[in-house]
Amino acid sequence: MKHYLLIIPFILLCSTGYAETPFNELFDTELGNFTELADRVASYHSENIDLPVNTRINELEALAINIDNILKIKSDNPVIWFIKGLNHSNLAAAYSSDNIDKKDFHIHEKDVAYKKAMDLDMGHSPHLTPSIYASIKHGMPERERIHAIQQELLLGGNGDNDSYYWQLHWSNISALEQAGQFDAAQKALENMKRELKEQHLTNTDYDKIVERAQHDIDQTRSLKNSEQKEKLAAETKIADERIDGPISEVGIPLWAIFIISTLSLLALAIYEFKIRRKKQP
Amino acid sequence: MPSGRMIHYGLILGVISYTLLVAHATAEPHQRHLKVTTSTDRDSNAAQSFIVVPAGKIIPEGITKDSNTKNLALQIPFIVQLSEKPDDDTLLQWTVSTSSKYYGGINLLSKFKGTKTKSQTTYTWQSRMLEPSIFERHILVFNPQSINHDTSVYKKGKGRNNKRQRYGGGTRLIDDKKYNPRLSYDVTLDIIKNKKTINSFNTIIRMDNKDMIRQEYINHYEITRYGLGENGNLPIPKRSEISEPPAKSDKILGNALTESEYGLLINDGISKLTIKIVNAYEAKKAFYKKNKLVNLDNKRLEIPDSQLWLSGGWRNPERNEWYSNALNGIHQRGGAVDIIINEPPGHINASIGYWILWQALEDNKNAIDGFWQLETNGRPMRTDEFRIDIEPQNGIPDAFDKADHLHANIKYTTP
Repeated sequence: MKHYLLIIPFILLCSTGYAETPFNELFDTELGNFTELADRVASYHSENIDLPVNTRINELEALAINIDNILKIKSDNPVIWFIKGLNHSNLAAAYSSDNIDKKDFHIHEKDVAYKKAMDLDMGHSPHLTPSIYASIKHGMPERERIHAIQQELLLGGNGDNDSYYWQLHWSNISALEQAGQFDAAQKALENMKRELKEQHLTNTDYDKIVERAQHDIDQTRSLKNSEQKEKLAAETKIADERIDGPISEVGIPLWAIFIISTLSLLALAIYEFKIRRKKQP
Repeated sequence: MPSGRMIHYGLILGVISYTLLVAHATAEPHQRHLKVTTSTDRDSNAAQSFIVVPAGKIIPEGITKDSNTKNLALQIPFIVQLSEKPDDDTLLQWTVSTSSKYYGGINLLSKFKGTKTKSQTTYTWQSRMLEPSIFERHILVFNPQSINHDTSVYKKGKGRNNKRQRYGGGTRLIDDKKYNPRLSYDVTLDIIKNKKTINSFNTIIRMDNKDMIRQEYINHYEITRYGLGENGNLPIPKRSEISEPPAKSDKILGNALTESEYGLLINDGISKLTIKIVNAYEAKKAFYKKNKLVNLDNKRLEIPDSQLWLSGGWRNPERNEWYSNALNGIHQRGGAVDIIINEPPGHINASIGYWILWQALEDNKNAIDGFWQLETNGRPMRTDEFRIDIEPQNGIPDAFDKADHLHANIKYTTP
C-alpha cells in the first residue's frame, strides 16, 4: 500500500496526451492507474524527446524508481516488466554518448527485464502483444531473440502490410539458421511454404524468399559441417601428438628414434663385449 | 430425297436456332425496356453503378495532389423506368432484392405500397399489384439505405487461441481487411394479365469496383478510431482518379503498388517515386561494391546484393484501418510507398541494405523530391538512433538494425 501511495503523486504530475504508440490501447485497457507512466516510457522510446540529456536522464531514472515500486505490488505482470525493459533501453540510449559503463549496465538490465516479461507471458495476463515482441527482439541474446520473433509470428505479426508477416517467417528461419539449429530452421521453412500454399501465394516473389532461405540453410549447414570436420581433424591431430609425448615435440620421426635406439644398444653391447674381453686374462 | 438422319440433324439445328432466336428476342428488349438512372456521374451511371452519400453531409471530392476538389454531389434517387407505358388491361408488380439482409434496404419514393421481407441472407421488397389508375406505375423510384461504419468489427492479429486483438473499426460485415461489401439491387418488373405473368423485365444496379472504393472513403469520412485522435478527412476520389496498376519495374520485388483486392489503385505519383528510389539505391549499392563502406568501428562491410521489395503502395481505407494507426494516412491518397530490403529482418545484410538505401536517398534529395523516413514497429526512427549503436552493438547505427521498412511519399503542399 505504501508503495502504491508513492506512485500517486507522480501520476498526478504526469501530463496527458502522449504520442500515439503501438502500445496505447493495451496500456489503456490493461494498466489502469499506470497507463500514463507506461505511455510516457513508450513515448520516450518512440519519438524525439526535445530535452537536454541530463534532464532526460533525471526523468528516466525517476521513472525507473516508479516502475520498481509498481513491480513490488505487481511483480507477475508481464507488461510492467516490458515497460521496465523499455525504460532501461531509453536510459542506455541517454547514457550512450558519455558513460559506457552505465549504458552497458542498462542494456543488461533491459535484457533481464525483457526475459522476465517473456517468461511471465507464458502464464500471466495481460499478455504481451505482437508490437511488444517486435520491440523486444532487437538486441536481445540469440535465444531470447528467437523466442521473441517466434512469439510475434505466432500472434500474426505487427506489420503495416502482408509482406511483413512473410518477412517475419524469414527472420525466424534465418535466426534459427544463424544459431546453427538447422533442423528447426528447415521445419520453420516448411511451415512458411505450407502457409504460402494455403494462401495461394505460390508462383509469386515469395518463392524467391523461399529459395533463398533454403539456399542459406544448406550453405550454412554445409559450412558448419566443414568447419566441424576441420575442427575435429585438428583436435585428433593434437590428441595424437599428445600421445606421442615430448620426443615428437622436437620433431624427430619415430623410425629414426628406433634406429638410433637400436644402434645405441648395439654400440653398448659391442663396448661391453670389448671391455669383458680386455678383462679376461 | 433427304435421308432420315439428315431430317433428324435438321430438326436439332432448327430447335437450337429457335432457342437462340427466342433468347435474343427476349433478352434484348428487357435490357432496352428498363432505363436506369443511378448517379449524377456519367461514367458511374453508364455502368449502372452508384455510391451512397449520407444525407446532410458535405464531403469533398478529388483526392490527388493536383485535383480540382469540389463537393461531392448529393445522393440522387435510383430511377428504374419501363420505356413504354404498359397496356391499361395489365397489372404491374415491382420487386427489389438485395444480396444482403444488412445492406441494401430501400427507402421507397414512389407512391406504391408494398411489403418487405428479410430472409437469412437477403432483403426483398415487393410492390402490390399496380393497376392503371396508379400514377406513374411504370416508374420505380427509391433511395438506397445508408451504410453504417461499425467500430467493433475489425480486429488486428491472430491473438492467442486464434482470438483476434481488439483494434480499429470497420464497415459492418466486410470481408475483414479486404474491401467494402459490394451492394447491389436486383430489380424485376412483372407485367400481369388475367393472373398470368405475360412479361418480365429485370435489371441489376450494382456498385462496380471504382464505386466500391469511393464508398469506402465516404464511410470513413469524419470517423475517429475508437473515439480517439483526429477525424477522417480524406476527400473522396473521383472515378477518373482510380486506375489500373502500372507495370512494376523488374528491379524491385514484391507487390504491384497495391495489395488491395480491387485490382485498381490511386496512383498519385507513387510509380515514379518508386522508380527514382530504386535507381538511387542500385547506383549507391554499385558504388559501394567498388568503393568500401566502413562501419562505425572503421571495419569494411561486405556489400550484399540485396534487391528492394515493395511492400505497400495505395491502400484502400478498409485495409488501412486494419493495418495502420494513421486514419488519414497518405497511402490512401496513392501518394506513399513502403519499401523493404529483401533480406531476412534482423540479419546484418538487412542493416547494411537500409544504410545504403538511406545514403542513396539523402544524396539524391533534390532528384527524388519526396519525403521519407525509416520506420520500426509502426514508428519513425528517433534522431539519436542514427548515431547510437547499442541494440545490437555491431558497428551499424541502431536505426538501420531496427528498421522494418522505408516509408516514402510525394510532397503535398497541403495536408
